[in-house]
Amino acid sequence: MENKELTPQESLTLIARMIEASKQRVAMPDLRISVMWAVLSIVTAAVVLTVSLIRYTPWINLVWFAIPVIGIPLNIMLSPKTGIQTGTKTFLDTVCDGIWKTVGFIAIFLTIICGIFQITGYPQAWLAMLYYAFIIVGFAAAMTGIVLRENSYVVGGVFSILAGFTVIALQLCNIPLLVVWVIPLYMFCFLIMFIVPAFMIRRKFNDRKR
Amino acid sequence: MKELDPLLHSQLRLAVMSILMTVEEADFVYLREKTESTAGNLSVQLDKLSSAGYLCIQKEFAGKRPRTVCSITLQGRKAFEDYVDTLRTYLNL
Repeated sequence: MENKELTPQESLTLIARMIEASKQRVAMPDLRISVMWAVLSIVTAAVVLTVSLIRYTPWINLVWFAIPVIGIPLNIMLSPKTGIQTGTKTFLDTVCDGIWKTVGFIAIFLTIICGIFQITGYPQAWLAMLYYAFIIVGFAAAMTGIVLRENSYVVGGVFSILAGFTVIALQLCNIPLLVVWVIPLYMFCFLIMFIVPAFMIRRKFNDRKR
Repeated sequence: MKELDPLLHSQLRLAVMSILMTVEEADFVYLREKTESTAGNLSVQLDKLSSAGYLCIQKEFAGKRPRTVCSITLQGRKAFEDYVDTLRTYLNL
């Protein structure tokens, strides 16, 4: 492209062409980070479930800390690459970053609150993390879906929120939350909140490219 | 009839502004690829837009590599909108 003067018609064509060119980037969000967190959550839950079914010990719940311990460094490693590879940052990126940073900060502060409860003799407070995973993460996934106009995220997020409130309702009714169904439900929610939408977005993108 | 902003009425500068109207920020490499321009020419035109207050240019490091990130200012956004409005009157749209 040179620095020549344009006719009004050429100007309009050029504006349309450049907007279209930059839209191609908007259409393909970076999915590695969300998929990484989902896989990590599912694998950790699978480990907890397997060990709990073989021989339950309360110590197995420490395995849940693998999610932040492995996830946060991996997130930091993947994050800078995202911006540099694409070379651009859209309003959608800013909104999605804001949503997930908020979710991350809630997780950190909730962990601290649950830790304080644990120290003061109320280890059952850790159940709050389960509600967080279902409801807060589900809400964020639904919001991401609305922003990206990807219905699979919205469906997954709404399902997770409803699952979370169902779990709360069951607990309020004194129905025991059994590992044998709560953890598979948790895994299923992460599967439909992140893995399925990522798969669908990737497929749509490949179809469009073809 | 209102004059078209001479700063925007050039192929490369208009292309850059059009891209930056749709994204929050874009780096030099991205702009160069999308506009298919040479680094030297793009750099000169970015400086002109920046001097006019249409663009904000930030230089940062991505690891060890320098990275130039551009974003449109409020003044630039307003100028672009005025430019498009004037174009419409020229073309009777």
